[in-house]
Amino acid sequence: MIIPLSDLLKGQKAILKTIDSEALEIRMLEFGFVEGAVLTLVEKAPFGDPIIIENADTKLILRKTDTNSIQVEPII
Amino acid sequence: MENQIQRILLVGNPNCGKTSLFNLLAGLNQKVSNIPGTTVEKVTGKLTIEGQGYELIDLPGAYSLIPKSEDEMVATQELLKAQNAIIVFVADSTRLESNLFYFSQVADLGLPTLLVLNMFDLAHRKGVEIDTNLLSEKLGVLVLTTSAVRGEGISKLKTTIGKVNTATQTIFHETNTNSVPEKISDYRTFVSNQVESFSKGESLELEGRKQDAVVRQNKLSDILGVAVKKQSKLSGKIEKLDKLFLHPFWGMFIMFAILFVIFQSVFTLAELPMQGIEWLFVEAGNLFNNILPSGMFRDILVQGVIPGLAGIVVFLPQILILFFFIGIMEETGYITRVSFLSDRFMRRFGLNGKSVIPMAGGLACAIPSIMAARSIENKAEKLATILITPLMTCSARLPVYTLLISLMISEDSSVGIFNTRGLVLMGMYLLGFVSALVFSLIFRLFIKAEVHNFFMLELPELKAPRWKALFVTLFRKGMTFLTGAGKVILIVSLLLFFLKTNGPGDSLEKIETQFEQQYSQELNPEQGLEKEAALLEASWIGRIGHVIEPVIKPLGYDWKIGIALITSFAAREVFVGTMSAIYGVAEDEDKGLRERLQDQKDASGNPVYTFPVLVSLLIFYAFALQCMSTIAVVYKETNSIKWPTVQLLSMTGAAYLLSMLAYSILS
Repeated sequence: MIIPLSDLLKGQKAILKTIDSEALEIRMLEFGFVEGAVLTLVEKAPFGDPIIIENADTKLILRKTDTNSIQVEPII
Repeated sequence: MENQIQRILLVGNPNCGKTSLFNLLAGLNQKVSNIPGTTVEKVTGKLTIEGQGYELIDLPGAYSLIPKSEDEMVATQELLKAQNAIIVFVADSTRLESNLFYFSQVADLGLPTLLVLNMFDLAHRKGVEIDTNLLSEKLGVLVLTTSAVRGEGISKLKTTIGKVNTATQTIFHETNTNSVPEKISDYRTFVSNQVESFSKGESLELEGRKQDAVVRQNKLSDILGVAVKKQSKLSGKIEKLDKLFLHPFWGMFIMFAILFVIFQSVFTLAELPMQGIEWLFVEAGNLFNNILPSGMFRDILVQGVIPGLAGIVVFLPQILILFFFIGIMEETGYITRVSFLSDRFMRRFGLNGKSVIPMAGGLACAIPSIMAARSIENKAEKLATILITPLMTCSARLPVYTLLISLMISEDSSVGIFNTRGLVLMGMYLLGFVSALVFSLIFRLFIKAEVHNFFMLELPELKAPRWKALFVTLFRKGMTFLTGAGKVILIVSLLLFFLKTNGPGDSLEKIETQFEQQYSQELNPEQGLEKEAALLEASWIGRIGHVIEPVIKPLGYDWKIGIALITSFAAREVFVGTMSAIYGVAEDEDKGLRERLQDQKDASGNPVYTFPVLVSLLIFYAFALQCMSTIAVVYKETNSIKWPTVQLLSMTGAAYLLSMLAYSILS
């Protein structure tokens, strides 16, 4: 099942599938968020925006408007 | 010598400990300068290794050679034009996966490069084992380890730098891949084209960059797979604390508590040293007044230069205290938690999560707070923050508000259980905050955002502050303020001094002789104050007060208030002092001044300080940019004359219109 990143629950893990915005994709790549990487949604700010995601060694804060273009596959 | 290294460039991600390493190498021997055409600071220092002198340059922290911010643009530009330079790439040992991406790009510029694994001891304690020999072999670069916090590995770093010459080169792609993306045949040219596009505001190449990034990450992941062994993460106390800091409810609660403590500290801790500084300058003035022969030189020194200098130095305690707290927040990484929690609210007003700190600091003083806006990465949001911070109710407004409110409302008046004066004062604080948000919305209609502007912030791990680095930064911030904004403040105060002590023609001399004839003996204190008031009226400032009277009439002000408006342009609290001088009341005599003002009648016998006039004055001081130091700091921080002008015109313009509106509705 592929869902937008911001639909993940707090603490849920997922596999990074696609990023629709190329500029954002490159930035994510620079932090090691490659396609197929496992990421965790660490925390959501009040009202669910922004969110924190984490891979092996980096935590990133992203706004919901940007994460809508990121598709992930949740690992149950 | 031809191939002698002369420059050392420290390069690395933000939060890699690069600046503490710089401080260890350069000590207090640092120079901060603005990169022309930008607001980015360049910090340079000097270093001697075995008799050979080097220039040490701390480049702004960056994540990539392809810029997305002004900081990154400057870092890449400096790297591209570097000659006879060695690159010391500083990486956080606990986070090599993300740090080495930037390294791989920097290495491909073909300059002599060293890789320094900083925080090596911390990585070890966290169960990260790095095979430095293998890493060195795979990356094709010399690898050293340091711990800037403990000062370990520094002397080895120095000797290694001393041995490198310009012939030492590293090419990451050549050593590691044969599959350089077609579009990027020459990496240097590619990078320099991208930087140029960025500086012109054009969109950047995407496809080639994406391919390039994928190749690099895959290669790095292969290398790190064999050179680094990680034990599974332990969830320690720090992680638990961080959960609390980021919590939607408790995190907010802690954030407000911390902001409150900071605001209170800037307010209260600074008071004593500020009084001390004022006392020191007053004493110095008295001293020179006594030992120097009377004349023009003494007057300029004692009444112009010394108070002018006092007006600069007096801000130092507030600046240092605010930056001490901000320094702790930056060092520990807490400031990013603040961004995270408040981003959604602040974003609606075109601001940034980090705008919270300048705005809270602005409740004490706009000067250090505007400097604090530096930590905001997004250019447009940083500018908006700088522009609206002076609207927050600063401590200099307090004496003005106190005087005006006490004239307006009697002491025992109350609404329910609340003192009315207190409520009005609280209302003024609220007015400041709300108008700051509204102004930001308006400013953001005109300030364009950068291209490719998505919001992405790295959340650094919480860590203990490095005190030495903190104090070195504090020292530097203080010096920057004294030498930068200080100059402008000194010039304006000298100008105000001139206008106050000189008058058209012989108008001032006439007053002198008039008083001499009127009172044959020594003047008593009351007559002295009367003479001072007369002199002030006859001076250029007094003239200007008369000249602007028609302009300020619609606001309900007479020329006397006009004089106070002009002198308090230096700083708002000067309003009270000037009013005392104009009405011939000894300074520090609040009650006397209040009674005197209440008794004032205009030509037709009506009171001057009526309710509409007082409300109009309150509103004027809430909005008007009556603070030359703010203008000086904004000029310094934005590196342009445009933004302080926009700020002055919009704030004082709004003050004028709103005061006029209030006055005409109420009267």
